[in-house]
Amino acid sequence: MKHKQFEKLLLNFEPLDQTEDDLLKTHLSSCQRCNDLRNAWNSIEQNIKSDPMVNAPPEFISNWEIYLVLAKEKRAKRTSIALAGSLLVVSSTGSLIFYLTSLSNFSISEILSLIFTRLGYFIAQLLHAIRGFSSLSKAFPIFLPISTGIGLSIFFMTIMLLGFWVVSMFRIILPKQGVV
Amino acid sequence: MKIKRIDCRDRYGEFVNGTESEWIRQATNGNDTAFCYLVEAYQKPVFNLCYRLLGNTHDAEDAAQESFFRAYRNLKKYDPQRSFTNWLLSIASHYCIDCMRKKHAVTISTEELPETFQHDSNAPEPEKVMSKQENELRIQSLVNKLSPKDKAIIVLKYWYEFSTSDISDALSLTESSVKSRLFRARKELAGKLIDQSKKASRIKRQFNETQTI
Repeated sequence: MKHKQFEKLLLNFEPLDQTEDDLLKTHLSSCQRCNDLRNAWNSIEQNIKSDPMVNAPPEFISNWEIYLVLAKEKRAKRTSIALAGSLLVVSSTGSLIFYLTSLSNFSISEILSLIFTRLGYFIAQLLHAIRGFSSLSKAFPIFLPISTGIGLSIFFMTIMLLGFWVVSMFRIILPKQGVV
Repeated sequence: MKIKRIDCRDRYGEFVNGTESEWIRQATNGNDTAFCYLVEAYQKPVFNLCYRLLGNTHDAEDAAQESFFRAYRNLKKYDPQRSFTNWLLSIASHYCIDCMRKKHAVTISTEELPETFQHDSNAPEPEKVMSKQENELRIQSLVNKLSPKDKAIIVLKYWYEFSTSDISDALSLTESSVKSRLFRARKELAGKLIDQSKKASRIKRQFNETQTI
């Protein structure tokens, strides 16, 4: 017997047309398995519907007030840590630039131009590599998909490992029931 | 401005009267007391949802508090066109689903029953009350065996009478996915109940046989 078809009719609760209704009735008159399924679900549904809503504990509101204060404090602490971290990064970068300028008699503009020259050189190298890569792929058509596949898998593996590391660090540092 | 009056009596069995949108507006402007009124009004449905999903009162209270805090933090993102209850329950469902995924297995503690499950000494028929409680616990333990999302769907559908589109909206699923998950969950629950009944009747038969011997 095609139980699956009748299970769908029994448990989907979609309106049935006359033919489906007749088919279901005929099937139920001879199939114990589908009858059991229907009775079991009816019993569960009845129990769920008669099950009342559970009340929150009486101290829920007072606990909420405490929770809100603590969560706000925690959030403020985190914001201040982030702010202090960014200030530290900015000030150390500034100090490094200042140190380099005072040590090597370079002016800030010279250091900035050096950085931009290096950056330009890097971009030129990158473009060169891309051009080489494309000429190689023209010569060997199979090279491109294979190397892209290898490259992407290495990239995603690295990202995944980095992700795992970050998550585990967070799990170690943060308390289990912490506030986000 | 359109002020919507709250009347939660029909749905949640408790009368809460006030101006919901006014409280939301004031809470969005930083009034913590107004948000506290919202917490007071919705503590029962949010706590019940967390209890049904997580299976014990301690975790449910923590999850309900955290859900309210997330709502408090994201109140500016709340769209007034949407039902506030659905929005709040959606936050709580997502949080509880995350908790369940982290915990993997959820168990319901029979020693720590919430208020509505506790035995009433004035009840005329203690056996009936006990059997009802046993039945409720049996159903809850069956529901606990479902996957986190299926469980959330069943709870929203049968305890909160959410429509398929409300559930899909609350859990960020498509309507067809909700329908197929509902079918699967109903089938799983019914199948497990049948298995339990068969097992119980087998044990009873074995017990009767040993008694006659």
